[in-house]
This record gives sequence, structure tokens and C-alpha cells, in this order.
Amino acid sequence: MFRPDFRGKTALVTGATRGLGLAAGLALGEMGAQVVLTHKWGGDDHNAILERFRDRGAPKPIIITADAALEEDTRHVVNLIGDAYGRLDFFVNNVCVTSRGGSLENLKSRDISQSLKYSAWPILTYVKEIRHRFGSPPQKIISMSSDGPDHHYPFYDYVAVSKAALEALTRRLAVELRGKAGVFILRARQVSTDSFSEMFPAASKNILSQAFSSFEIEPDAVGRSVVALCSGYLDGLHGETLCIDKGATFYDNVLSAGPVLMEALEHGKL
Amino acid sequence: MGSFKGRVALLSAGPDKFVECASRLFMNEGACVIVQGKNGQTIGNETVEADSTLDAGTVCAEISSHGLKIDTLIVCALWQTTLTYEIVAAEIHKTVAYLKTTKDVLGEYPKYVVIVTPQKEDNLASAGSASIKTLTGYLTRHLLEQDVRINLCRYAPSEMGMRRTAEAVFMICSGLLDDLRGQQLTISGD
Repeated sequence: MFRPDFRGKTALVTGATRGLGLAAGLALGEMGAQVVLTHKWGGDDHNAILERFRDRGAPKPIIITADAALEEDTRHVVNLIGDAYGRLDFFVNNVCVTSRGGSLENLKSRDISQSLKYSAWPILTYVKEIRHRFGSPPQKIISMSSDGPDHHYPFYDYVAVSKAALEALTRRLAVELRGKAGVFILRARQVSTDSFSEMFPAASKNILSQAFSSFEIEPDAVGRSVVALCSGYLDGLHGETLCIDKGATFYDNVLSAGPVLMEALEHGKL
Repeated sequence: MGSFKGRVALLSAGPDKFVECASRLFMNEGACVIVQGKNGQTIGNETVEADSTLDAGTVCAEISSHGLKIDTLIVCALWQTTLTYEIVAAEIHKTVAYLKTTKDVLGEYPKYVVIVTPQKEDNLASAGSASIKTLTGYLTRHLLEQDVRINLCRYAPSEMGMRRTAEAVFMICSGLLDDLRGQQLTISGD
């Protein structure tokens, strides 16, 4: 595997003490970057995270508690990075906090507002603060997304709506920052993380693991994709979306996927 | 450096700038690069005595005679200056021909297959590119259980566009994007 050299670089990953955010941080750290991880709720024991970075030969990360919806917390994170390292090269906007949707009756204005506040607006507040502190945006800005904006998944209403807004904002940033930063959207399909288990019912997970295991993406695969986008070799994709899905999206429909499901049922896998 | 050592990349004939940039990126990482060039053109550390008019079978047989197998296949399609209906149909089918032939002659599919087409304001080129995009999805589905990843890169027909596309192809084949399958990447030239 090709390994770009990120020694001397600093990376900020939000919502990064578990799941895809942590995978992105680990992958960047493995290539030598000094990584700063933010979190607000939950996440693994910090010592366990530090050990994972050690195991990868990565520099010790900084882990900061920061609420992505609060501008003062955003300012604190950026200033801390500036004071400690004097630079911020890569920004991975991963934080996503939403409620479960599910039906028209369940959709509430307050929940949509909260979802956007945590999962969409922070891309703008973070980039604004970074530009203010450092005089320029990070070299690479990546928004972590999913194919939810274009495909229905059960209970995924708020996530999908937030990701749609996030992607639109990222594309706008790409226009504004052309020539100044590489701006990308990274979409992944089903990734086996705690967030997935929290969002989808056990039956959904069972269908995926028993009938469509080939669909599943490992978090580390997403982490490596972040590295690829930060490498400089994909600068021609500025403003575009990179979709990591093992090709599943193209044939994920009733007629193509249905027979696979039926076979799994016939073999008692479901 | 050296992350591609032991790997073999076959590039079909294509626009000079793209072929040159892609070849150098792969060679710099230690890959053996074979270019199906014009008039037996050689770039890299292996030569295939084949020109752009020869079919995939002949090219693969030649590669096999050197004791090599193809790890990476880069198919340049629709890059010709003049396109006709017949040429477009053949260009759409080119990747299918290579896949079948590599399997038949060399015993296995390449691990990485990247089709490269130009972004052109031309009816036939647009139709051909759209067809190839769809075919990329279908081929991905057909080979889902195989260790093959097929993707499409569309380059802006400028020097920067071709250089950037070569870099994107290099990254697709780097091992960092192995779950990228059946995708179209549109590469900008500015």
C-alpha cells in the first residue's frame, strides 16, 4: 500500500473518539500526522484510544471535549491547535448528532434544528475559525457523509436531511476555496460502528450481515480513503464526492438484491 | 517509494500526456509498466511489441510470454480525435474484451481496472462515456465476488487535467481505496 508522508502535518477530526472519526484519525496518524480528536459525548476510554494510536506507530493524539454546536468551543479547539502546533493542515468534519426519524408523525421541527446544528452548520463555523486564526483554510477539508441524501434508509430522516445540507455547504465552500484548499465529500455506505447499531434496528443489521455482508465497509477502509484525499493525488476531485461502497449502490434495488435476500431466507440465514 | 514493487500495470494506448504521467507515477513506486503504445513505443522498463491496433488477446499473450501477469489494467477509451459509431461501440466493449482475455490467457482478472475517458463536448464521446459509466456499474456487479475493482475516471482534456487524472488513477490503484468500486470520478483540469 502506498503511504503518503504526513509527518509535520496537523489534522483535526471532529466527533472522533469512535467509529469513522476515530478511524480517520488513526489512519492520518499512521501516516505521521499529529492528530487532534474532538468529542462531546461517549466514545471509548481515552487510554484505549491512545493505545490504538501507539499500536499504529502514530504520534500521540490530543483529545479535546468540544461541543460542535457552540462557537466558543470551536474557537477554543482551533486556538489550542494554533498555540500548540502553529498550523492546521487537514480538517475532517465528521461530527453527526441526530435523533431517529421514522414516520411523518415523528418528524419535529426541534429535532431537525438540532440535527442541523450539530451535523451541518459546524463545517462553516470550523472553517471560519480556522481561517481567522491561521489566515488561510486547511489544505484539505473533508466532510464525512453517506448516501442517505439520495437513498431511503429506515429511521434515517434526520441524518439524511443533515447530510444533504452538509454536502451542499461543502460544495459551496469548494467554490469559494478553489485554489486555496482541497474540499471533498466522502460518502460511505453501511459501516459497522456503534452509530450504525444505535440508528438501525437489529433486524436491519441482521439482513446486512447474513445476506449482504459484501456491502459492509470497514471503518479502516474509510480511514484510508481520508488519507487518499489528504495525499494531494486526488486534488482533481476538488468539490466532488468520493463514494466508498464496494459498488453496492448501483445494484441495491429490489430486482437485483431481492434474489440474494430470498436465497438467504431459503437457507435459513434470516 | 517501492510500494508497487512486484506489480505489473498495462496501459492501453491513450493520450500521450496521460500515459506518460501515469507510467512515471507507477514506475516511481517500483511497478513494471507496459504500454500498448503507438509503433511499439516504450515508456518504462518493459516493452511489449504491440501497437494500438492489436487486440487484447495478442497483447495478453505477449505479456504471458514474458512470464508476467497484470495487476493493474488502465484502459484509455474514446480518446481518438475522430469518433464514428463503430469506433464508439468498440471503445465501449474494449474493457470487456480485456477482462475476458486477461482471465482466459493469464488465468485471472487484474486487481485494479481503471477506464479513462475524456470530458468532451461531442455527441459521440458523450454517449460513449455515458455507456461506459453504466457498463462500469454492471461489470462491478458481475465481478462482485472477485478481487477486482473497476472504476472510471473522466479527464479534462488539458495538460493539468491529464496529469491530475494520472494521479487519481495512481491513488485508485494504491491500496488506499480498495473499497472504491463501480465509481465515476470526474477530474477537473483547473
